[in-house]
Amino acid sequence: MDTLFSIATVEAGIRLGLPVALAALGAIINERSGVLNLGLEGMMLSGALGGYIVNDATGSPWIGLLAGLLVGALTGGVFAGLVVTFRTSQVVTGIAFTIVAIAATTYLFQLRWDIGELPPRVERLGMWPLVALTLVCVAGVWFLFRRTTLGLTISAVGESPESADALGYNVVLIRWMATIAGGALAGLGGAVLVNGPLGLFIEEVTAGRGWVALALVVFAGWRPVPAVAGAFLFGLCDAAQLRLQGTATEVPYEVFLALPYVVTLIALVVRARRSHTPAALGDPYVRGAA
Amino acid sequence: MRSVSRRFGETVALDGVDFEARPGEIHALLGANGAGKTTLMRILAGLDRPDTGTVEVFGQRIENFEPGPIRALGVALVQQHFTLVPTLTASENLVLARPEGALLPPGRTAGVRVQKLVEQFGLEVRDGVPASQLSVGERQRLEILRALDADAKILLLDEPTAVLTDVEAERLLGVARALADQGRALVVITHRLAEVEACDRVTVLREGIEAISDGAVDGYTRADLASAMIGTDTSGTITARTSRRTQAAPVCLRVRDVSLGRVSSLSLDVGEGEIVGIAGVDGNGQSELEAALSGRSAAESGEVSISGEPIAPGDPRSRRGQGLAYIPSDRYSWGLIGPMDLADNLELGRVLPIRPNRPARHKAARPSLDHWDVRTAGPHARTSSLSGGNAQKLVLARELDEHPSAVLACYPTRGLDPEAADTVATRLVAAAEAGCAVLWIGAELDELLAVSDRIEVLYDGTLFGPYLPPFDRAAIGLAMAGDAADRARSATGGEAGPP
Repeated sequence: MDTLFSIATVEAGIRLGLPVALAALGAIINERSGVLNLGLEGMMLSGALGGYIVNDATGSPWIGLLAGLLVGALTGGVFAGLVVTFRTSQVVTGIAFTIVAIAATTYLFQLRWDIGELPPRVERLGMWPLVALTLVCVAGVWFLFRRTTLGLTISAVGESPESADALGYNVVLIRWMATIAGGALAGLGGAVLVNGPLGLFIEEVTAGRGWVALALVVFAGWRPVPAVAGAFLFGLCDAAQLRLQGTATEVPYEVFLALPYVVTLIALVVRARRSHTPAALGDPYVRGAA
Repeated sequence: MRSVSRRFGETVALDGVDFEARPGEIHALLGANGAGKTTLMRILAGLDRPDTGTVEVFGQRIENFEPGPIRALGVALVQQHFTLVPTLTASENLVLARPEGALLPPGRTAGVRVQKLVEQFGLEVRDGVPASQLSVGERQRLEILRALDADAKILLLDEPTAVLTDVEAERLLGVARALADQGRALVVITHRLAEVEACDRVTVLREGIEAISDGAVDGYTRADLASAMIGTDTSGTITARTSRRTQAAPVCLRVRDVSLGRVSSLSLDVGEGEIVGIAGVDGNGQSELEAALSGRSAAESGEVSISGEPIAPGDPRSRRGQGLAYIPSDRYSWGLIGPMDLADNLELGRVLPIRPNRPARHKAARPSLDHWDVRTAGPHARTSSLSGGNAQKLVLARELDEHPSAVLACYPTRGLDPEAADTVATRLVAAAEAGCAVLWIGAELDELLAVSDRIEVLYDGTLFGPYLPPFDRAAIGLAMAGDAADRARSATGGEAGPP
């Protein structure tokens, strides 16, 4: 039990919370504009693989992070094309997107490294640069929504697209930008996971962290600071369960494995009842179709 | 705007309309529902585009019908459905409409901006609370302030007084006059004669055509305007009944002091075998009346009874049990389930716990479909594949087959082609002649004139009438535009309006 309550656990918790925090920030930008991004897990995973391959090839985790960001932005663009321009169902498209991303990353990964072959460990970044990076992103998103006209516009598009349209804002363009930005942050989150705490890629390495991030966004009421706080709560539970798995107890280790997800779920139930959902979340916008 | 036309599918919304607004004047745009008033203004604001015709703003021809560039020319539309972002405060809504650079102004500066506008134009608005928590009047004032903040030279108000109390409406017209005096051009869409009288010029639209084009308000009497609005063409599409009931019949449907939303303390009797037509322009309480009588909403107060038996408020099922047939105004929201087949829709409301198999159900449905002349591929067809007329006949088949004692028919012919409309009307008349009490809420005066034994006019939640056959078209038209209400008010000396 001594190992459970230690500085090391807290540090591990922070490291494991960073990717979730970044993905949650991305989802906030997405969803404040009215685009429900259930493809978040898939975008994270794509960014993770992109970041891993580039880090492996160049030997620089920073370039890996950049690659994750770009891959995420690209997936965000694809998603925006489908749900914003072609107005496909955001729920179905998002889930399908994640499923395809899981399959595609597994396939690409196996093309590069055969099954059974041990994929190389890549150079890892320390905790503090990544913490700094995440804090910059939090501050950026906070500033965007609290202090800039662009943030106000994104919120307006998510709350009442017809109003924004009548005022002359381009709803489709704003949703495209928000979806790409959200994808980029999710991809960065994935890249942080493999280039930071893990240092390697395995199939479905994100392990549902994208879904957790989506839940945290609801829990945080679409506000960046509480979302990041929630992400670190999740990270702490994740770190704790890793350590609990190592201690010999009567409890099956699967219970500990489920712990972070259970805590997230409980937090969600407790908080989500009075959360404020963007009114137009999930609705494609067509002018004149009120 | 020159010879502007716009079609939506089969419907011609505007047919070669000319329209002009001049600085310093208030131009009233008068017309009944569906006359094309709102479409015309949406085009002028860039929210819609004309199929043919041209629009010029200060001599500049509009090619690109987008809201942004047209706003920049100084045109602002205050729509009936407000376009404030409900979660944002007054000052945030103003900043959204006219940002001051990339960064948001600090709270205090934004507040000062609202305060200045409020003082300059005398339109009271609270700041600091989300727009969704403001009263309707406040939201409208904020919309107008937002337009003025952008220095709108041409201000279009779409039925601005529809949601206001009398006192607020009067104040608003005063503000409109002050704005016109500053050299702005104002357009006020309305269907109320009293408001037209506060304007300088008037254009009346009827079914997409100008009935009066850009006339001086002083040149017309109320009767002129009312008849231009409702038309004088009495040859409706619906076959007029040859005989009308003249003797009082025993009361079947009794409505006593029902209040709900806009409807206040409304009482009405419909006798057995009688058709009572409720005339009026939409939005005067029709939807509340429909909701209260069908049981979809519980009335705030009052009582409804059928054949002397009072029925519980807000209980559609008990109403059906007591013999009320309901033909809803929106067939697909409240009448039919589109993805289900015809036979299933016929059974709605009387489905047995254990149902016969599908072929048996389809077989059972067939006679009813034939009798009601629902033209379709068969009972297995999806209901959403039906045309409007056949869908409505399917509703009639379900509702009238059970020999109801009363029928609530809400806009039963809306959206139907003339032949189907005539069939539906004939069937309802037949139901009345078989002894059913029919309450017919309609927007088209012609059809009500053709079928009703008695007409009441619903204006601002209150009934005016009765009007008995032979009907005085002009008098009913005046009542629909609020003349009867204005008279009643001045007769009681109640200038101050409600407390």
